[in-house]
Amino acid sequence: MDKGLARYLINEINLMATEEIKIMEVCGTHTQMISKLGLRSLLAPKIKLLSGPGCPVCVTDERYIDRAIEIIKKYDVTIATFGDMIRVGGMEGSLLEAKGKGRDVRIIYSPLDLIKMAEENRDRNIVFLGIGFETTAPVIALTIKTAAERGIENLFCLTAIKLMPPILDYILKQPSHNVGGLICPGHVATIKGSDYFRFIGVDYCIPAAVCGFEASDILIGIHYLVKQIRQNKKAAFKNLYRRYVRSQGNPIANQLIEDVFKVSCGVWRGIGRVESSTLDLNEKYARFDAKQVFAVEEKSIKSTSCECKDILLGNRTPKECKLFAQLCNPVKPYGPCMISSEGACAIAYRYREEI
Amino acid sequence: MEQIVTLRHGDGGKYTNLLIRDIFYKHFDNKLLVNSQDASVFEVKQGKLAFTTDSFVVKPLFFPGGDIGKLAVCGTINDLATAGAKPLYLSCGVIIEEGFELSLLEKIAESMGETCRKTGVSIITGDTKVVEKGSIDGLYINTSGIGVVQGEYCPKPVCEGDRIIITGGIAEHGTAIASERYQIEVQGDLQSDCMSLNKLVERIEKYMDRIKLMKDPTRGGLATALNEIAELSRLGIHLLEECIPIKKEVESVNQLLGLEPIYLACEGRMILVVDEKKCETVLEEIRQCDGCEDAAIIGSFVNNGIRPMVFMETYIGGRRIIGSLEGEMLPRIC
Amino acid sequence: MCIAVPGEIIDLFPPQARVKLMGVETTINIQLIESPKIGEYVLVHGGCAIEKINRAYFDDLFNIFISIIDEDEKKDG
Repeated sequence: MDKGLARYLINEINLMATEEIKIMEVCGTHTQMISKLGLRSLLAPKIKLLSGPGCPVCVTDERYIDRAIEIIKKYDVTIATFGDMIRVGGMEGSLLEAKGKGRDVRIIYSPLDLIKMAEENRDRNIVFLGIGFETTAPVIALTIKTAAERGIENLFCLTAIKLMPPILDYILKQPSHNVGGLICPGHVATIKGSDYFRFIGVDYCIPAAVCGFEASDILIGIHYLVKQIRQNKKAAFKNLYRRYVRSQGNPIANQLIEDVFKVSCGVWRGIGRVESSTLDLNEKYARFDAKQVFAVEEKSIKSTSCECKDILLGNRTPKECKLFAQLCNPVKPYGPCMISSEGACAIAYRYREEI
Repeated sequence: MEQIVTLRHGDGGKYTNLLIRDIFYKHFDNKLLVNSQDASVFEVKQGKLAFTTDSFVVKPLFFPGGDIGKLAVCGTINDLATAGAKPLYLSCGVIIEEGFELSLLEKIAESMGETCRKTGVSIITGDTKVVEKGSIDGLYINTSGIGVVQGEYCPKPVCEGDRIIITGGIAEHGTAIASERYQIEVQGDLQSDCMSLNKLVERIEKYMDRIKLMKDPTRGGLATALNEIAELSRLGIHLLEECIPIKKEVESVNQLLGLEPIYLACEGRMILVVDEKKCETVLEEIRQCDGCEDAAIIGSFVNNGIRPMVFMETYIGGRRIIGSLEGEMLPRIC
Repeated sequence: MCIAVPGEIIDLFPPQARVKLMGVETTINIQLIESPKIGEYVLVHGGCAIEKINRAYFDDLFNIFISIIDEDEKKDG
């Protein structure tokens, strides 16, 4: 984006904000871009940008990781995972530690790489840690469907795909929430459609905008939200990412999601059970479900003094957590917000900014 | 004819000698090496000597723009360069996993020999060990290097106003490795920047009195190296995002993988801290060197009274604090 | 969350395509989009094209920006 345009918008936003306004985004890539641009320093002190639970690694329950580690120990499988997942600690350690002890843990970039991996390693059972949000769901669905079509029998998926609307409901139903406006994740909307987020204005009277990830997208989004708040248009909603987002989303992607998954109750790290917030493999693809195929004992959860729940919900800043930078840091991350490089605490630690 | 390295290649006897002769001596060919016993003896003219060592365990062993061998030679030469030293001689210790393909070993040795010849440096002593299959992953190389300090260079106290120069585009090596490791099959100008910087040091010898510090931003990238410099100098660094040279191919692979270029390794770049008054002249001189055409002044030292830190002015005028890399940078999907 | 980058389709060999993004080329899957054509721009996530760019809204942001300025000028003028 042209520097001059950016400065113009920042100036306009700051002029409009006569009192403190809190705007939340729920997407790790939005969090990263905002930090990369140094936007907080330009919009402080009136505009506060909050980082919600938009990082799938951050919100993956400890028991999911423990299950993966138990499976690898009991059944000697190959675990395939996205990058920053390997540092996530369960109660029994992380996959990185398991890898250090000689277990076969591999990092992949695209779920579709698994097809080749499975075909080239027919003597190994490969368990893919299928985490992500709605954006990644169709890619994982396509992978499973392709594996089924090709008769691949050594590929399995341990799903932990989370859905946005239920967690947004959870946040916005909290009486203590102080979210004034919501930046909706543009790539989730690319798959599900902009209408997927209309409920925010309708049910909660908070302005919301679907935004892309360039500087111009984010600044125009913030400008829009601040303007609606100023004009008291509380139920305002706008799709500001129309170059990729249709109102109903991508029909092929949505059909695939429906073909392969079913909606289930999800467990969000630091938050707990949230109804209808996760996607599991449905009966048709049950043979790919690692949870069913590789049965292991489920452990009960330990309590922790990690404040990530409140940080994810925007009720506390990382600096307000007793563990931040003392016991919890990127090398030895305690809670989910420090684990992912896009987690609110990791970014706060790295950039030492106020969040 | 042997195809792979076996344990007997490491037992110090006939097969070790054959391996050394047919692979290492063949490609490192120089009198000092070939005539040496357990130690190589050489003379140096008067002057201060610099001595450094580094071990190389990079995976994959071969990557666009280089291999572990080229890296092992350039890496040690560049460490000598940061001390303002002209490299003279290197040692080379290799630890090879049983079963390693001989043809690959030869390729690596050939690469090392070629890099040495281009740089005017010789490997004059070495060691070879072979270990059981599974105890290491392929091949590890250690190189140590001796050089003579040029122009009486020594690091000097950094002052407010001193400028920071980087000798070329950042993150090329780290990005090339990441694209190989995560199988982002990329076609475009994406290669490791692995190269030796000794010619650069020779070129700027006459400005050594105005050069305060030199550092190569390897592991942890530009950001980590600058944090180390800030800590040493007890001053803050004001970095200008717009001035940092970066190839668009590097930017796009990093975007695809969710990595940050300022944290990825360079293996053929130097950071120089230069007196404000001489920085433009030094920059022009650096730009005349092969591979340094994109050198740029990227920031300066400031004394803002708080703990030494690196902060970057983003291209829209925002402010962002840049910490050191802690832990490994891993790709994200979501 | 959800890193995706835009790229131009330069070759098609279903179910894959070759795309060019910011000076690099890579191979991606195109099964999530309808009738892809060479020359079209797509959004790439996790090795897959997840949507085509809607050219009609390519200048959307710019137009929104202009309307912001216009409104601003009306206020002053």
